[in-house]
Amino acid sequence: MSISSIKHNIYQLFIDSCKKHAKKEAIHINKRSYSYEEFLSIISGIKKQIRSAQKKQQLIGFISDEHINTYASIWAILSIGAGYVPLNKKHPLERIIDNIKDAELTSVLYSEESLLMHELKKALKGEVDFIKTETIVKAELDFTFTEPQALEIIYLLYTSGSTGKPKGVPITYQNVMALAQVHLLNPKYDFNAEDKFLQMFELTFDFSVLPTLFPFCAGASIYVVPQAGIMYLEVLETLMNHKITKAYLVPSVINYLQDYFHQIDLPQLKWTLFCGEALYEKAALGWQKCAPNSRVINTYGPTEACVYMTEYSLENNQLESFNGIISIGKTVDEMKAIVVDENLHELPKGEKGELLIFGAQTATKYWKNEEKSNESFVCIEYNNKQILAYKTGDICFQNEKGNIFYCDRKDHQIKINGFRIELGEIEYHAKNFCTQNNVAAFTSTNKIGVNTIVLCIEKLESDKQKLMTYLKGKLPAHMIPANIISVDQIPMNGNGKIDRPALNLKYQELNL
Amino acid sequence: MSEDIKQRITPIMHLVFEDKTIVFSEELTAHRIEKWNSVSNIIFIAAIEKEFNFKFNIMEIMSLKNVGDLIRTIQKKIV
Repeated sequence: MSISSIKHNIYQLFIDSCKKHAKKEAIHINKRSYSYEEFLSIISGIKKQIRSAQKKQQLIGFISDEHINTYASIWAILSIGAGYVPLNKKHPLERIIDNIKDAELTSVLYSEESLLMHELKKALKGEVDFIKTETIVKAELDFTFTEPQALEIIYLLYTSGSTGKPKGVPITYQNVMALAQVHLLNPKYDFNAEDKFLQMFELTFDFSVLPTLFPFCAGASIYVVPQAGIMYLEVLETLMNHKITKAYLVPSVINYLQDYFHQIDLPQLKWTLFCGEALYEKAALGWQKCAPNSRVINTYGPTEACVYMTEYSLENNQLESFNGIISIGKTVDEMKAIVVDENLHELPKGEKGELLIFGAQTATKYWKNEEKSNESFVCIEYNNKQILAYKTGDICFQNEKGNIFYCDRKDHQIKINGFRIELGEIEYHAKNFCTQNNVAAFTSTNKIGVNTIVLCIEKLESDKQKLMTYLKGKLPAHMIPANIISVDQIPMNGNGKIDRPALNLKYQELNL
Repeated sequence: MSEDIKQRITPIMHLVFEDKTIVFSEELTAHRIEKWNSVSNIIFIAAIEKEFNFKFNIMEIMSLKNVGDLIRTIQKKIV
């Protein structure tokens, strides 16, 4: 499909749905349901609040939480043709302020007063308008919207950066509509108004784009999983109690549930789409038995490729896996992927190399970060054309059938519960604290097979607790090491680089 | 009996959640303990099962909304 044929206004689809399904349930959140009419009413009220700020803004931030206004804020921002920047309220204050400054936000929406809001207002007084959104369920409905340009930013998400500074990934309206073509508007996903979708993701996680945007365009309902409890249990409870029909999950959820698969029965589930981390064969097959009427689909995609760009359906397939990890399948219609060597030359099928991706879903650069953009977004020749491609850093190979298999990372990026983490960012902050010591972060699989982060400091003399407190002030919770250890000397490999496998072995010997 | 259960699960909580300052309370929830997350919950449940020599089923685990629920479920399972 040519890019020019892609409709780039998702808001049009949303408004059509609001008109058609006015009285139908749109969203279930905090034990309450809101119809499309009520949802649009809240959106209309927030839109009015944004407009009264009287600033032409390209990007508008919002504090991400489980509040109806937060979900309405996303659509209110899109209704004026702007882009949204979610800010995780659980992140350290300093990191949120950095994100606001980096994105050059002048307005940030929020739903509730809190200590965080008090501190943010104090720190950014005079620089940023903090707008407390109102819940008006009977406001005049506003069906109007501003037509965005295809290449304008629809959202800006921050991911971990190896030099200590998070990287902003700007995704355009066109990127999202390309994703909509392969997912929302794809008959095989059969989006319809009777569906109930699971929404388990924090809104700064790019997988959240699927359940927070697309179901609303089909008149379906979304069920927001409470974030306060134990996530895998809350997810299962929501799936069972609300008879969810379509679910987006990170594989970790089913990894935690594996021991109980024989007690779980979800006949109403029509498909489960996995993304964010490796999907293990054993867990996927077990899940298939829990949800016998559900298609299980494994997908892959970095934030730079707008959520996902390859898919592998377990249905009617002889399961293909590598090291127990299910194939990430083939690219979707709007995207291409090739495996290349160090000189960016395409490798023959079966050979391992870096996965290079390009197509309508791909971002073209990082936000205000030329150096990182030049490193990761490169011009290559493909089919006698010059194209811009993104270097994923993922080491993969393609089999004869064209299915892609993830093998490893080229660098020290890891995934914990679907979150992308640069170990270098943890090391950067640790080094700032322990200026005299060498530091190394690595991952280790704990006793129940879950990946955790361990931070190793050479000859650490100061208090581990103080270091931990310092890191909590700099890094989000998912990047905080599960353990800090001290060693006499950090092992190095033949190339003079930190030998992380040897460190892990040492750690296992310590039996922590 | 609940006093005995309390005596036995408190040290498990201190160990699993790596916090010896946790004060036992029936109202205590995962939300209020920093290291009580998906990973540590699996370890916690396994440690409770080992301590009391029984297995929870998934419906029982899902119904545990606070430590008080845990005590009552353990009581039912060990009679």
